[in-house]
Amino acid sequence: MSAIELTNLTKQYGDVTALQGFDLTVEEGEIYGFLGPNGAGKSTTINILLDFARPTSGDTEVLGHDAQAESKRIRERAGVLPEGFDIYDRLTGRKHLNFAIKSKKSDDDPDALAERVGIADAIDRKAGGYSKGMTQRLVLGMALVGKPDLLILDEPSTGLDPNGAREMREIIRAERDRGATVFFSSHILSQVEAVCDRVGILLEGELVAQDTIEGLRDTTSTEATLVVEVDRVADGVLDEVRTLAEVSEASAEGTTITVSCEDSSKTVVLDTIEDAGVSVENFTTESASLEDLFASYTTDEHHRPADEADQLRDGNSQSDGATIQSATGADGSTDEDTAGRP
Amino acid sequence: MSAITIAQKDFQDAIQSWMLLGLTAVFVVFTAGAAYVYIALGAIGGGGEVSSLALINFLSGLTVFFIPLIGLIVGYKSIVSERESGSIALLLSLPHTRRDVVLGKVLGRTGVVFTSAIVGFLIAAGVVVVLAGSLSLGNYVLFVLASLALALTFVSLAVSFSAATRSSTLSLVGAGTLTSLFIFPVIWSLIPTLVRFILNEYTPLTLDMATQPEWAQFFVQLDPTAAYSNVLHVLIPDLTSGPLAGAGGDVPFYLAPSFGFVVLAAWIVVPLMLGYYRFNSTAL
Repeated sequence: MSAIELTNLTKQYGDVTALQGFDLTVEEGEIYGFLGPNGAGKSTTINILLDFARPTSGDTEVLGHDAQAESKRIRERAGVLPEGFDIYDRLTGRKHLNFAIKSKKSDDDPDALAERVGIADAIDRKAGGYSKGMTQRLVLGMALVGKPDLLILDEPSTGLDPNGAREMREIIRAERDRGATVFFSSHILSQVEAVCDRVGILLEGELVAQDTIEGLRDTTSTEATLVVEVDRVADGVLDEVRTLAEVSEASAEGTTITVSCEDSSKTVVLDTIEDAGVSVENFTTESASLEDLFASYTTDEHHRPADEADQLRDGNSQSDGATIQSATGADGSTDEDTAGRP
Repeated sequence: MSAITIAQKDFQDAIQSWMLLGLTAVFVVFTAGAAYVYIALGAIGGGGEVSSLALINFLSGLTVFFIPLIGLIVGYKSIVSERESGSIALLLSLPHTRRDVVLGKVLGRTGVVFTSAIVGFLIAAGVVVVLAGSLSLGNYVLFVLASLALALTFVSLAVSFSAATRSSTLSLVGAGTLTSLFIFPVIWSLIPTLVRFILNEYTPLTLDMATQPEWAQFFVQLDPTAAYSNVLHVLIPDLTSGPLAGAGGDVPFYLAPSFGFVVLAAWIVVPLMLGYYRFNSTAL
C-alpha cells in the first residue's frame, strides 16, 4: 500500500486551475521531496491531503484512507508541519506539546520531544516569544508526537538557520529509519537533494517529473558545467571546443568560457583551450545539481540563477580552482547559499 | 473526546489572556454591585421571600442586557481569529474534526463565561445575605441556572458567526447585529408591527401582545431574551416578569411560557449547526 496516492487531482478556484489533474504516489517508508516554485500548487496539494481544502475532482488517498471522508483517521496517524501556521502566543511550548500529545492520545514525554527538536531550554516560555526558527522546531516537535506513520512537512526549513536545517534533515532521516514515510515540500533544493529518496516536481499544477534524483539526472542531463577563466578568448577557440564530441555547448563572456560537457572530458576541454593558444588561469566544475534539473523543467530555455553564477565566480579565487557540488557534498554546507533563494 | 481537549486548551488560553479574570471582575461588579445598590437604595422593604423575588426581578432586568453582550464579546472571535492568524492550521493538523473545533470552542468559551458568572452570582448572593439578612436560595439558584442558559445561547450565537465567517469584523457585525436586536427588545417586537404596516394592516402603535395577531405574538417570543424571561417565569412562578406572564387560559403551546425552553434550545443548536455547516464546507 502507498502512503499517499493521488489520482487525477484537480483543483479549480473559479476560472483559475491550481492543480491540473496529476497523479502522485508516495511509497511507504520513503522520503519524498515535493518540489516546485512558489505558486506551483504544492501547498494546495498538501491542504487537500489534510482536508483544509477540497479538490474539484480526483481521488486522494492517504494511509489507505480517503482524505475527505476519513480525514480524522489520517491525522491520527500523521504528523504535520503545516504552512502559514501560527502558534498560540500565550501558551508555553510545553502546553503546545501537551495539547498535541492529548489530541493524539499519546503518552509521549513533552521534555523528550522538546529536547529532540532543540527547544528544551525554552519549553516553559510562552511560545509567542519564540523566534521563527524556534516556532518551527516546536511545531515539528508537535508533528513527531505519537510516532506518526506519515510526516507531512510543508516547507519545513522555513526560518531555520543552516544548523537548524541540518538538524531538521537528521530528524527526517531518523523518522524514515524508524519506518515513517516523509512527504515534504520545498523550494530549497539543496534540502531536498540531501535527504530525499524520490522527488516530484510540480509546475503550474502539473507533476512534470517524479523519480529518484539519480533517475532525474539520467533523464535530463548528466553533463557537468565547466567554467574556465582565461587571459583572453582567442578567435576560434570556442569553435575548437564545440567540435569535441563530448561537448554539447560552449559560450564565452568576457574572459570566461562556459562549457557543458561530459564529466570525464574536462581535461580534454582544457587541453583544447590551451592548444588554441589561450592560457587557463582558473577553472571550476559543477556536476548537474538538482537545481539544474529543476531549472530544466521549470524554464523553457536553459537557465542559470544569477546567484549561482556568483558562487561559481567566487570559486575561481580558491587555490585549487575547483569546487564540485554534488548531492552528497551539499549536506549542510550550502544552506547559507541557498537559504535566500526565492 | 476531542472537543473537550480543544475546550481545555481554549480555557487555558482564556486564563493566560486575562479574559477569565477580566470577565469575573465584570460579573462581580455587575451582579454583586447591582445587588448592593438595590439593597442600599432601600428598595427591599421587609426582607424574606418577597424581597428575594424583587431582587431577582431587578437582577434579571440587568442580566437580560449584559449577559448577551458578554456572550457576544467572548464568542465572536473564537474561531475566526484562529483562522486569521493561521493557528487553525495547527489545530486541524491534529486529529480534530471541524465539528470538534466548533463544539470545543462553544464549551471552552461557555466555561469561561460560566466560571466568571458563577463567581459573580455567588458574591452577589453573599452581599444580599450580609446586607438583607436572607435570600431565597432555591429561587436564586433557578435564576442563576436560567441566566447561564442565556449565556450559553449568546455564546453559541457568537461562536456560530465566528465559524461561518472569514473575518472577525464580519463576525462581529453579524453576531452584533443579531444580539442588538435582542437586547433592545423593542426592536425585535417592532418587526411584526413593521411587517403589518407594510402589509397595510391596521397596526396600533403598541407593544401590548394581546392586540397582536397570533403569528406576531409568536414572532416576539422567538427573541431569546423573551424566552429567558418566560423560562424564569416558569421556574419561579411568583415572579411577575415575563412577557407572557399575563397570558393565561387557552393559549397554543407555542405561546405558552414553557415554550421559552424550546426557543432557547433552538437558539443554541440551530445557529451552531448552520455555522458548522458553513465552516465545514469552506477551505481554511
